[in-house]
Amino acid sequence: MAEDMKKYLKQLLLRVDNLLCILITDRDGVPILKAVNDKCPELAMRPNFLTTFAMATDQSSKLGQGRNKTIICMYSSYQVIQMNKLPLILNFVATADCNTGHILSLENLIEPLLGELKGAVIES
Amino acid sequence: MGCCWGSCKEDSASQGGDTNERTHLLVDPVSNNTPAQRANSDDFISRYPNSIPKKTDEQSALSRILQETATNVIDVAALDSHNLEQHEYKERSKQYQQRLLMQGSSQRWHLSAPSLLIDIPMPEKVLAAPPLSYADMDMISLLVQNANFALEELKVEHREDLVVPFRIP
Amino acid sequence: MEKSIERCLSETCSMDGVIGSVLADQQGLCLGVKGKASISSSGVITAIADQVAKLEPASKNPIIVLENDTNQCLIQRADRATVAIFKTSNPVN
Repeated sequence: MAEDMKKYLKQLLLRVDNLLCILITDRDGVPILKAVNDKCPELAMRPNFLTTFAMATDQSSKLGQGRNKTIICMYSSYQVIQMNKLPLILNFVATADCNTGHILSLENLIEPLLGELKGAVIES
Repeated sequence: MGCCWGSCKEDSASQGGDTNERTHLLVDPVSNNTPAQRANSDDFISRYPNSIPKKTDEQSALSRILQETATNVIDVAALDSHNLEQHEYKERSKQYQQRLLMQGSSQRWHLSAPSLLIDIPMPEKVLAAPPLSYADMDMISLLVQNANFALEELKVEHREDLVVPFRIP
Repeated sequence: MEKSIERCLSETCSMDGVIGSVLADQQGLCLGVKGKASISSSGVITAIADQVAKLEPASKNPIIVLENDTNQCLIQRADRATVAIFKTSNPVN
């Protein structure tokens, strides 16, 4: 079952060129399910990097434009896309030249997975 | 007092149903009795002309204002306050993996076949179809060229100052 | 500033048989949509254009046609933009 989900995520990872990792974590950056390419920078998967999003999304929801959904960070060599699916956070790491729009369109395909993963988090 | 609520009203409405980390677990008794009371203090008094609000009501109303303000302030200092301990992190990670393994699911996770190439009846009909017309080729090439040119010309028009000083006396 | 882009799209959409058009940037982010087309298709359109361009690296900017019985989707890429046009198929001559 968990293997199935992992395989599914891995297939999604392979769909987009230069997408390095898909990471589903809780709001403290603890991974629940992940698919990682070996080229993915280790730093981008550290919990203290990932938790920053949880804070940033909370704070930026206060800017008077409604709830924050997605934050896209462009760096010189990587891009990090994080989606607010609280209690879960959806993280994507890709190279800077990766097709951002394509990554965003993966959201619909991952959405059904989240419903099931939420079960694992909420009980805690 | 009334104006404290103005900016955040829509926001809280849009967040309406979903439970998140900002939903109050304990329902405030005052706001529970009068759901529309977020207007202003005059309304509050006019709605209860006979009884002057009790002290506790006032207290909780005040603390509610405080809490609401706290949730609406953009607090940059809080950004690096919270970090999980290493062992806590490992423990929780293990816990999640176990739960996932235990969790049964009715749904099968698979993507549709990665290939679009499938057998079709009467392939000669498809193969004999006329190729893309020159008119269509011209149309898309022209659009691409124009769009590409338009993008090269694209500039951000600077209208207002990016940094605005607040008028603090 | 984005007027010329919008003009491009609406001019195309006013042509015969065209149902909708999408303009995306290199990152697959949508820059504009007109007519019956989805904003979220921009990423996939750019991805298709990128993949097809790899088939023949020497020749630039291929035109890609996806079609079913009634409709066609034309995709072409340029340096800064990728464009898709959705139109009804030309009647068989």
